[in-house]
Amino acid sequence: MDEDSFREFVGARLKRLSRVAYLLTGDHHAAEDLLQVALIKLAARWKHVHRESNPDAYLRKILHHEHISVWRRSRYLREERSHAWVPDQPTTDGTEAALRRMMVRQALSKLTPRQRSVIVLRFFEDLSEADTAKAMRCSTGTVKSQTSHALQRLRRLAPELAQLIDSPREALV
Amino acid sequence: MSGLRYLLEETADEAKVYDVTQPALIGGRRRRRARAVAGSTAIALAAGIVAIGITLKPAAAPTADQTPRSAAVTGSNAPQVPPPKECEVAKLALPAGYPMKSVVAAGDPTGRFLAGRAYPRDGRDRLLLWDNGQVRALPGHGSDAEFRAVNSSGHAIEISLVGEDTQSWVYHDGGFTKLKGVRAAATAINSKGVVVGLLHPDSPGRGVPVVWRSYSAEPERLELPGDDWLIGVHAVDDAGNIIGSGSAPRSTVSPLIWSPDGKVRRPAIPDYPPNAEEVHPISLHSGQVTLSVSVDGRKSFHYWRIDLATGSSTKLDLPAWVEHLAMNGWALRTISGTLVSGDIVLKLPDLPNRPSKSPASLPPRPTRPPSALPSWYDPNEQRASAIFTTMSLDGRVIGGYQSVSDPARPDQETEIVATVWRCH
Repeated sequence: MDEDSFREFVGARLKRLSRVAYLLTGDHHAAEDLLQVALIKLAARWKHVHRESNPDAYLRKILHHEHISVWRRSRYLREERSHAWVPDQPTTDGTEAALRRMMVRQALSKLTPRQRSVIVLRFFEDLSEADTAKAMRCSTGTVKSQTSHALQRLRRLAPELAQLIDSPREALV
Repeated sequence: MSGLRYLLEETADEAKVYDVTQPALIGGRRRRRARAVAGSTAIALAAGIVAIGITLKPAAAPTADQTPRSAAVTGSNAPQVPPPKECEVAKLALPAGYPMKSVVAAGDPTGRFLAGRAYPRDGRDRLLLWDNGQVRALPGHGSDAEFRAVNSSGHAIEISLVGEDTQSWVYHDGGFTKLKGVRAAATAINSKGVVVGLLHPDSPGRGVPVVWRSYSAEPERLELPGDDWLIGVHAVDDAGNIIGSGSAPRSTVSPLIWSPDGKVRRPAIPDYPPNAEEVHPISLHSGQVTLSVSVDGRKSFHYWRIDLATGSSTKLDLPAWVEHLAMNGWALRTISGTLVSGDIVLKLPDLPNRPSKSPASLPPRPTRPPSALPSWYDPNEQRASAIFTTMSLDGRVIGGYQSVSDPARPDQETEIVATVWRCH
């Protein structure tokens, strides 16, 4: 195995991959675990993947597959749940961004793993429905339905967040 | 939707850079070696020595828990039968010609019925119902249909998305009946055909807890504990008792119990943690409900058994991540894939062709401050390699799914397959 090319590939993407893993898990330890497992799988097939396919797409597929089917084994995450309290409105002092991040984390934690993946793929990684379907190994119809489910749930979990979700980006900066 | 993108970017700013390159290289080497060994097994499998439907016995006898617990399970949860001796694992049968990807989502209390779905992706029926292992494919409604619950008569709850709205059906007597109500999300069914769940009549927002007394009945609203509560409805027993959870504005979540007439009460539980996060019933039968409550980011768990007739509660001494509890006291820890009875811990076996991806083989991670770790965290504990979704009331039938390699396509990705464990 060409370990240098693997290090180079991962090194160039580590920050972005860490951000994706954190959004998928909402927890530093879980994010580190998720990324480590995904990279182990990539390393094991690096020779083949590096030469014959698209390593980015392959790694994305592993990352989301691991997130959905292996690491999120708790049934808590697949069911309707009651909800922890989130503030009604972000405050206007310096903690506004922190409160907003907390609300996003809490709302994301209430999504199913598939819903969380589809949100990250579509709205953070900015993938098309077709590429999202490839990453999640499902149909574009499922991507559409999961996206709809997820957005519906995000708006339901935190109406104040729903307002922000639907705001133009400029309004939040 | 640019607002959502911004919110995600802002949240992702909290991430650190997790440099796991070196552990990944080490783990990758181990994985390649393990796959080379597994290759010989795959050849044997492809030669027909073993086929779908095989059952395996665990290689080793049950091992005692190396970590003494402070006390055995207490109260009425004490084991009433001998501990499990061994478990066998098997892929569940799929309809002829179906791709192997499949899951078990629910099971009935007797262990006879399991319900799940396949992923044919070509218009074929994707809902699956197993009756003593015999599979039947059924059509779903709308998009992304899935079974959510099944009772001892094989009547199964389907939930699906029709347009933008969630709808629910009951499969029974060879056909589906759509449950009445706007945006109905059914969650549970008892052996008498009573269904419970939520309606979202006003908006996709907060749900209204309801009960359907029959499959054709109008939904009846269950009493709310107060104004503006967020409610979850989790299970219904044969007497019509319903268990759920809810939270008032600006307060923590608490368990809720509805009597058969729909009246709600909050059980008085001593030592209920003020920072409780998630409440779930891990068993509900004959007026006895066992709850698990996670605290502080699931760093610790508390368990209680409540007698619904008297309202009395007993705190149970169970290990973390028990998500299924049989009436005989056998407890399933989903995080480790172990069946626990008293001080006996039995590891559920893996399917053949299970890729050697177990996190147990990961190189040790950097040491973290002890305060950052959950009290139950054991870095040497082998994590489960499967997801467990159901356990029968006698603890002998466990359903779920597990990733395996396809012996006919060893170069392809692993796939998840519907799996059953039978223990005795």
